[in-house]
Amino acid sequence: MTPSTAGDKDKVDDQGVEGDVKRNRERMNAEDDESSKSSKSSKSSEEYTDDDEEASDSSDQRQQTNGIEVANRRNVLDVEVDRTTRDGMNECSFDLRNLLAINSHQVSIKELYDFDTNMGNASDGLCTISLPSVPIKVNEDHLLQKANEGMTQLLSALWKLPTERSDVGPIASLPTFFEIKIPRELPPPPPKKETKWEKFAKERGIGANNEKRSRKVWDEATGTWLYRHGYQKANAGDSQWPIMEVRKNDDPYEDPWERERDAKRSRVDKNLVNRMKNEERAGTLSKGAANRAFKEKKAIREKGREGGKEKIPSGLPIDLATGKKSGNIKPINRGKELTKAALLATQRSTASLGKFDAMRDGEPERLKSNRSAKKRKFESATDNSVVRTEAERGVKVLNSVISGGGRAKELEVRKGKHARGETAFDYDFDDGLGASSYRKKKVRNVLSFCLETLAHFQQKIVMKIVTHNLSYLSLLWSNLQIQIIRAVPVLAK
Amino acid sequence: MRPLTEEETKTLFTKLVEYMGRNVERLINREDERHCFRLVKDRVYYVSEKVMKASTTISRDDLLHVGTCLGKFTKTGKFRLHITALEYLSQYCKYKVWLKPSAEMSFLYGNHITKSGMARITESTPQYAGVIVYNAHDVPLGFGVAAQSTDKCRELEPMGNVVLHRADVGEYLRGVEDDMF
Repeated sequence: MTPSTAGDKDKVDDQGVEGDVKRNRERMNAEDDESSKSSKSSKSSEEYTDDDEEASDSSDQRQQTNGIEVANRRNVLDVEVDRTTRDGMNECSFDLRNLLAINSHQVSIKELYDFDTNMGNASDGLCTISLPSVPIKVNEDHLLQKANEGMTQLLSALWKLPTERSDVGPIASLPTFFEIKIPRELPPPPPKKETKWEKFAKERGIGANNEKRSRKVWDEATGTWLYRHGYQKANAGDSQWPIMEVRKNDDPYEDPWERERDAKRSRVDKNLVNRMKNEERAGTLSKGAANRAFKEKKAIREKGREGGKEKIPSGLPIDLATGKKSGNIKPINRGKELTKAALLATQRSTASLGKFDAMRDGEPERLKSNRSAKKRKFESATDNSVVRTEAERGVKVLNSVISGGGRAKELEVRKGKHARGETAFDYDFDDGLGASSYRKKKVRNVLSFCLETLAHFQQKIVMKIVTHNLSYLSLLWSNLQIQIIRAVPVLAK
Repeated sequence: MRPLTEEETKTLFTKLVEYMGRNVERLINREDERHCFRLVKDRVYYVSEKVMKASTTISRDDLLHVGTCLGKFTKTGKFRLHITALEYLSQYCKYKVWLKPSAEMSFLYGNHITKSGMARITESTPQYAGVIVYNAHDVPLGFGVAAQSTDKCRELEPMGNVVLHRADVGEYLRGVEDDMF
């Protein structure tokens, strides 16, 4: 029941009395110069319906000091406003879904404020504003009685609802609708913008897909009903079988699965792009977002394929490096270091970490993967055995360090002078020339280069210089033969 | 807190030998009280046995320092000497450098020592040997590494480095590392 109808109900029931009251009030308000404020408040107080009649204390009359109003107020007080129905109670209206009983009848001020006792205190006996100096007592019993009435009526109304039996007793089913409609808390959602298809369908009069698609579809291949979409979907097998037919216009050397995957990806992307464009039109995305997101995608995909710029060669072992800025994948050929590292890793890539695998000819020794992580014996800090032997052990270590174990040795180890000859690498052919001591120099002038090398290895080299149009130079080394050095002058052609 | 492993002892002694040479033995075998090296987190402490045993009563989280901190092991396993080790280094060091009063402040601010700032240097200092830096009044200021051997120092230009700065007493005030002390 809306507030206005509650007021109407009052009017219908007791037109005369209520009308009198109203007319009196209107007169009061008309005579008062500052009537606007009070009239609004009094009118609102009349129409204000609240949970319980206690709130209808808002029907408090504002204090008015005008003598004429005082006289009218007395009239108001004398009027009997209570409408008694049965049992001397005011009839309440209900909103049962909220378990609400509304007593919209006017409160009897005479009974609420016990004016007999209060009259003596106040100057004119009509002030209902309680001041610390002039306290107004409210008749609590009256309020309690009114609450009691409301409660009784609510319960009797609830009992009238359709009930059903249960193990805890009769359960009443509340009405499904709310009598009092509360306004929205948040603004309503904005209307959905039309997508491109919807707009088109509207124009052409294409109805919405009225017939709902069934979830399952008959699959010929398996002869069962499979789901239309998703994992193991119906009629999906054609592209997933290991044999694919070459169609008429097809390039027989093309990878058909690649083609399928490409087609699927571009379909998905297209769908995504269209969705994004719809949202751009609707305004939820910034303009051009779809383009920005997808412009590069296809190009990148092509790039990573054969025939693209970044061709990854097959067959050779390569390590792939990513360019940090561009994100492009560049193949780099494995050099000696990486090959060694790869060999090391391969050696222990079995379940038993290479322990029982036979060694091949020339294979270097197998190292454990994490040699530095050796298990240490636990030594207590304060254990007497440790403390007493510490000094001796320290002296031992110190001696080893002083006698050639320190910094110098570290450097030598790094240079490789302490390498043990147990691996295949150590059995390289040593021609006595000391390859590491020879430093390559950039060849600016061929002739001078030859002369320099001649000076460096005076005794043991044989140099053959073969020139073809200044382009080809080869050197042969032999430590056994001493031959005449022939330097063929370079002839320009 | 734990004693050092063989490897760690070796690294530590390698470093100390650079400064003290054979005198490291004096650290290990002391006449008065027996001292030992202990590792707390990454730092090496030189602490007397009595104090060490008493410090085991303190829980690991609450224990900050024990005895004298010689230095710490870095993440890659190298050992770095801290200024707090100066006390022992200056007692047993082999090679010393004395500074002129004018160059004192420069060294205390963390700069290398140039030839113009050096007053004296011990004879036959090999290149890259550990060197203790003293001021004119024989107060140890810090330590470093000899950039040149003593002979080469004589032929050096006046602005050339003779001692490369490693640690100095001014670090107590400058606060070079946050977790130093």
